[in-house]
Amino acid sequence: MDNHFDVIVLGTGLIESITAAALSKAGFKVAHIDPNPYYGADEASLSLDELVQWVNRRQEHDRSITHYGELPPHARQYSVSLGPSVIPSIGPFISSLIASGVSRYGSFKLLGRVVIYDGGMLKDVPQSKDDIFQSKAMSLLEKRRVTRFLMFAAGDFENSKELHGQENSPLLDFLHRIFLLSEATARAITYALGYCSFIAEKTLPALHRIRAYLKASGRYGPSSFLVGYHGGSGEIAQGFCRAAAVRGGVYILGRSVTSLSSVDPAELENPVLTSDLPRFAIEVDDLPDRLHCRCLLSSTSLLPGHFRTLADVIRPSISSYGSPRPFAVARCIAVVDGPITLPWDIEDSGTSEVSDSLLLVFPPGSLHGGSATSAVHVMTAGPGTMSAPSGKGILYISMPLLTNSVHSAEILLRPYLTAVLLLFPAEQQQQKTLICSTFYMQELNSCTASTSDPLVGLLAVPSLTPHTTQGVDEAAIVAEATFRKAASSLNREIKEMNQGCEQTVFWPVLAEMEEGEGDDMHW
Amino acid sequence: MSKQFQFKLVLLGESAVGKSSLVLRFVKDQFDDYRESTIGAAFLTQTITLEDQTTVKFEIWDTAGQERYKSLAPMYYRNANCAVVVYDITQAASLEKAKTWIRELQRQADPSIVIALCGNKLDLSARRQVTEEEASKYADEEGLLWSETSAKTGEGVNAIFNAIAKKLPLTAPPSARGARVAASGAPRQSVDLNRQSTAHGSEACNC
Repeated sequence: MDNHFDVIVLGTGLIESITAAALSKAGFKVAHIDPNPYYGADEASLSLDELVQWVNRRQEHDRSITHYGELPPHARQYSVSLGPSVIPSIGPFISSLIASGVSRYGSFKLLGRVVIYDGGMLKDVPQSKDDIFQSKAMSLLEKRRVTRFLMFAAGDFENSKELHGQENSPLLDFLHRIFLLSEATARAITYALGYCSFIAEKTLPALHRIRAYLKASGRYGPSSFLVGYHGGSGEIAQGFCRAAAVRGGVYILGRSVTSLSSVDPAELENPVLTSDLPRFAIEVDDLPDRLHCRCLLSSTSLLPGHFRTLADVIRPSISSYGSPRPFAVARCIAVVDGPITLPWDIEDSGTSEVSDSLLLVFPPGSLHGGSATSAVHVMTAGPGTMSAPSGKGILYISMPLLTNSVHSAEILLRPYLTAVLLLFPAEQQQQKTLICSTFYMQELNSCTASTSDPLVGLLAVPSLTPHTTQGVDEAAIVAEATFRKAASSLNREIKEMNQGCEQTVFWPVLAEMEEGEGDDMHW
Repeated sequence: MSKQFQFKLVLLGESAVGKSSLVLRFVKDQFDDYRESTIGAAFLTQTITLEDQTTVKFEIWDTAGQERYKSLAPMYYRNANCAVVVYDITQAASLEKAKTWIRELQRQADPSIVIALCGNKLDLSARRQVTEEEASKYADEEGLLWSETSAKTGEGVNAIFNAIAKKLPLTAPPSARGARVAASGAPRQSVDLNRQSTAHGSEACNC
C-alpha cells in the first residue's frame, strides 16, 4: 500500500463517514480508521451480542452503565442503534443520501405514528390537516386555531406581525398568547411537532423546525419522517463508508492509532513537490508502516489532548433552527417479547397496516417520577425495519440533559420504561415481558472554543447532537462544512499556483458507472 | 409467461485473485490486464435467461477493497442471496483465505445463501498450486458449488453464474431487490427515496 494520503479520517460516526465519502468522491485519497471493530462509532448499529460486548467494554471505565437480562436466541438478527433517530423527508441529510447514491445501499420506510403521552393518556399526533378535522379530541374552535397556527408556521413567518418581538419567547408561551391555544394543544405542538427537548425553548428555532417538518410531510407519504432499516444511522454510516471505498478509500477498522504527530518538513528525505508535503504522520496497531496525510480529520473524542487544542473545531452551524445542545443524554435500550402495538391498534387492526416504528413523546412533567424539564422520546423498532426477529421489539428511550445529572441513566429512565411497558400492551392486555435492557449515559464532547491559530489541515469534528429529529440533518450540515474546510486546506497550494477559486461541489452528479448499471436498466 | 427474479450477489476473496475481473468479464465481457484494484461502481447488474425463459437478475456487490483490513461492513453480507468466493489456482494460500471467507459467510450471512467457490486464473494453469481434487473435495464437504474460471479468456465464467442461478430458490414469489423483500415478507412499505410520493403528489411541496 502506498502510505501517503490526502486525508486520514479518524472515527466512522455519521459525520465522519459522510465527509469521507464526499472527499473520496471529490478525488482525494482517503484512509478511514476506527479503533472500534464496527462502523458507526456513537451512531453504530450493533447486533445484540455485539451490544453486550460493547456494554462490557464500556463498564471498564463507566460504572454507571447497567445491563439486565440474558442474551436471547437469534441475537445476531437484531440491529440495535446506539443513536436512534428519524430522517426528515426533506432536508440536508436526505439530500446527501440521494445525491451520494448511498440511498440505494439501504432501505427506508415511513415512520408509523407519532404519539404523545400527556394528561395521563396516549394521543395520536395529527399528521395532516385532515387528521385535525377528524380528531374528536378538539373543539371546533380549537381546530380553527390550530389550523391558523399551522398556516402561519408553514408560511413566511420571519417578518410576520405575530412573531415580531417574540422570537426569543418560549414557544409554549407564544402559542398561548398569540394563537390562544389550549395548554394540551400547545404542548403537543411544542414537543411533538416542533420536537423541543426542553421547557422554555425559543420560538424562532422551533418555528423553523415546524415549517421544515410540515413541508416534509407528503413527500413520501403522510409522515414527515422516514426510518432506516437495520438500526438506521449505523447502517447508513456503513453505506457512506462503502461509497468512499468504491472510490478508492482505504478502510482500517478495529485498530487503534498508537501515535500521531505533525511532520516537520525539514525531516523529510525527498520533498518533491511542496504541495504534496505531508503534515501529519500516524502509526496504527499491527501496521508496519507509518501513514502520512496532508489533512487529518478526527472525531474530537479520538484526538489526543494536546492535538485537541490545536485543531480547527467544526461547529454545528445549524443554530437557526437548532435545539439547545445537551450536555449528555440518558439512554435506555430495551428488547421486549411480543410485537409492539398501541392499544388502539389492537381494536383497529385490519383497517390499515400496523407499523412497529413509532415515536412516543413524553413532554416535560407528563409522567409521575419523570423529568420536569426534559422531553423524553421513545422510539420503537422491530421486524418492520428488519431490526429484530419476528415477534420481538426494541424500545429506545432518550432523555437529553442540559447539565450533569447526579442520577444514573437507570434512575432517570426506569419510570419511563415501566410506563411504556404498560402502555404498549401484550396480546392478552398484560404487561409486556422484558428480554433485556441497558441503561447508560452518553456524554457529548463540548464544542470547546477553537484555537485562534489552528494547525493547518487539522480538523476536529464534535460529537453529533443526539436529537431524534434533527440529528441526521445536523450530521449532513457539519459534514459539508468539514468537507469544505478539508478540501480548501488540500487545495490551498494548488489554488495559490493556479489562482483559481473553483468551489468544490459537495456531491457531484452521479456518474453512469456509479449508478450500478450493467447491460440492462434498473426498474 | 416468463418470470423475473432479482438476487444480491457478493464477491469475496483475497486481494488480487481476480474478483473484479471476473465480474467485468461476466457483466461487460471485457478484460483488462492492468486493472486497478477498485472497480469504481456501487454495484453492477447483469441479467441471465435460463432455458425455461426465467430471467435472473444479479445485483453484484464488489468488496471495494474493504476486505483488505478485515473491514467489510455487515451491510455487505446483509440479504445476500448468493456469494462467489474467489481464489487464485496459482496461489495455495488464496484457497486458505477463501475458506476463512466461507466461514465468515456461514457466520454472518443468511443460512440459505448459495455459495460458489471459484478457482480463477485458469489461463495460468501451468503454474497451478491448487489441484482440482483438493478444491472440489472441500466444496463437496461444505455443500458449495465449485468450478474453475479464467476472467482473462472468459472460460467458465458464464457457467458459474448460470449454476448459481439454477440453484437459487426460483419458487419464491418474484421479488424486487433481495435487499428489500426478504424471507419474512415484513418490509412491504419500504420507500424508494429517489421517487416522490404519487398518492400525495398534489399536496406535496415541490422543493
